[in-house]
Amino acid sequence: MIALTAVSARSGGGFRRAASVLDAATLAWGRGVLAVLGTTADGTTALLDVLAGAIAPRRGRVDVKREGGGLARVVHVRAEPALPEGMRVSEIAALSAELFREQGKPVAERLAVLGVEHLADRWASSLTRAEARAVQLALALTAPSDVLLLEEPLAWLEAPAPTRVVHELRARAAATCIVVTTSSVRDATHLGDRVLVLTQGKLEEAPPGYLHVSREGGSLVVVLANDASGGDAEERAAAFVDALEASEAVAHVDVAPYAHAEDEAARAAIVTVTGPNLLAVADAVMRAAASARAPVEAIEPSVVPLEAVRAALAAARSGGGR
Amino acid sequence: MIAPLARASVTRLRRSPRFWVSPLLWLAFGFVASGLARARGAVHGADDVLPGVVGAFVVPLLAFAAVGAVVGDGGLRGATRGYVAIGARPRDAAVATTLVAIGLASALGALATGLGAVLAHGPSDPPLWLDAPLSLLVGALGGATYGALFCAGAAIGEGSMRGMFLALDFVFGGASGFVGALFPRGHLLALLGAEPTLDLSRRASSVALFVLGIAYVLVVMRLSQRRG
Repeated sequence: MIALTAVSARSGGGFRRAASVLDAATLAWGRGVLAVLGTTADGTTALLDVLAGAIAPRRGRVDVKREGGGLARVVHVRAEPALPEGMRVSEIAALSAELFREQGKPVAERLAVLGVEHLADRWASSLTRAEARAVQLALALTAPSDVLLLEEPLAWLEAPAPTRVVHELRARAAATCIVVTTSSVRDATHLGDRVLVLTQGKLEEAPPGYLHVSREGGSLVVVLANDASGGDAEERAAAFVDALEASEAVAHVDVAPYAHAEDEAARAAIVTVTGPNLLAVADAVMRAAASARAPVEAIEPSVVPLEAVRAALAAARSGGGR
Repeated sequence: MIAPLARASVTRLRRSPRFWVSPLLWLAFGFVASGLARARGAVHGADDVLPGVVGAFVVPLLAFAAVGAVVGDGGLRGATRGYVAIGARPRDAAVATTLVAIGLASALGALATGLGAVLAHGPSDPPLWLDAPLSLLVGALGGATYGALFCAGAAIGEGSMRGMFLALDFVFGGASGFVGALFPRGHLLALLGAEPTLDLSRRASSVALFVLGIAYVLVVMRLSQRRG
């Protein structure tokens, strides 16, 4: 339903503001959730703006159509909440229904998907940022749009709204073309059926090693100490890593020196273990640690930073990555 | 889907009294200037005040304030963002907002020139029964054209070109030549009794104002709809 062909575009920018730039992006997507990892400066805002028709592509071709042809009905929700001014939430919901030429669900029912039905009688201008964002997302998720464009859909929401957004997005994914942009690897992998990385305007497929963090996936960081009492700490650490790599529950293992590398006594290693099922990963780590008698100092849940994904992509491009 | 968006824009205006402060101040300024002309005993009160004060300053500044009241500080894109987030097409939202702004600027322009003609009427002015309605129509047309011009400015970037267009109209609008003819100022002043611009007849100037207004609206549509 959406197709970009060698599209270059620029959104925003100006005095003291960096522009969001898209550079020769090519992409096609139909039903399901396409998650694009990146920041505004990398071009995520330009990507959604060009898909929404809010900016013109400088080069290339943009197609946003319904299945079977015709102009798609698009809802575009930016990270910064924006609701029509001078109206109550219920009036905004009624206007939204009118724009889609349908009576649709009652207002309270639409707002209830994110648990904000109690805000129906409030003026839009009286809402907090989190409330306005929840209202905006609730209306977007319940509108009969063909294409849903969401910027940071899980950010700046109060519990339990983020969980409900994931649930609603997954429920709509079967019938709607959804594009989400986020700088969170976790959010992208939680939401996306396909994950792309946008780096300085260039779109790339996310490295497979990081797609482990599917909806049930995750990663753990294991800190291995340099065991001063024995001389085989490095061997045991290597055995630990080997055992992890052999485990079916583990998709990816990263090893890096940790802390004072020049200080032999204090040198440690940090092992990031990732997999499609966090519980299975935890089980694999415990088994590997036990079998290798690895000097485990700490095990912590890990958040994969966007930079790690970019580093993996850069390494793959230069031929050094896994 | 323009009508419901226009209604929402009007609702916002109706419920936000602070947006009316600036337009009402300029309207009051026009009335005071017109009243003072009569108080001075000017024999051509309306002929002096309408092109000299109301057409030259009040109508453009009223339209500028009217567009500001409808669009707000973030330009046309900022004003329509909330509508786009609930499903409006960017172009529909921009056109609806522009039409409301043009309507408001037109009504205020008509009020300024129509009532201005009544308040400033002097013994040597054309008969009031003819002058007042004609001035009202000219003010409505001029206000609408200025409204469209400033909406086009508000549609560029974050809306800062609205002020630039006001300045350009003041600088080049009254000038003879092609550039001057691209702005409403010379045509409006000619219709209100000043010297014709580009030696155009008054009828030609009124057509020029109408055509300019349409052209500015087309600019807004072009800038707000970036793909088919």
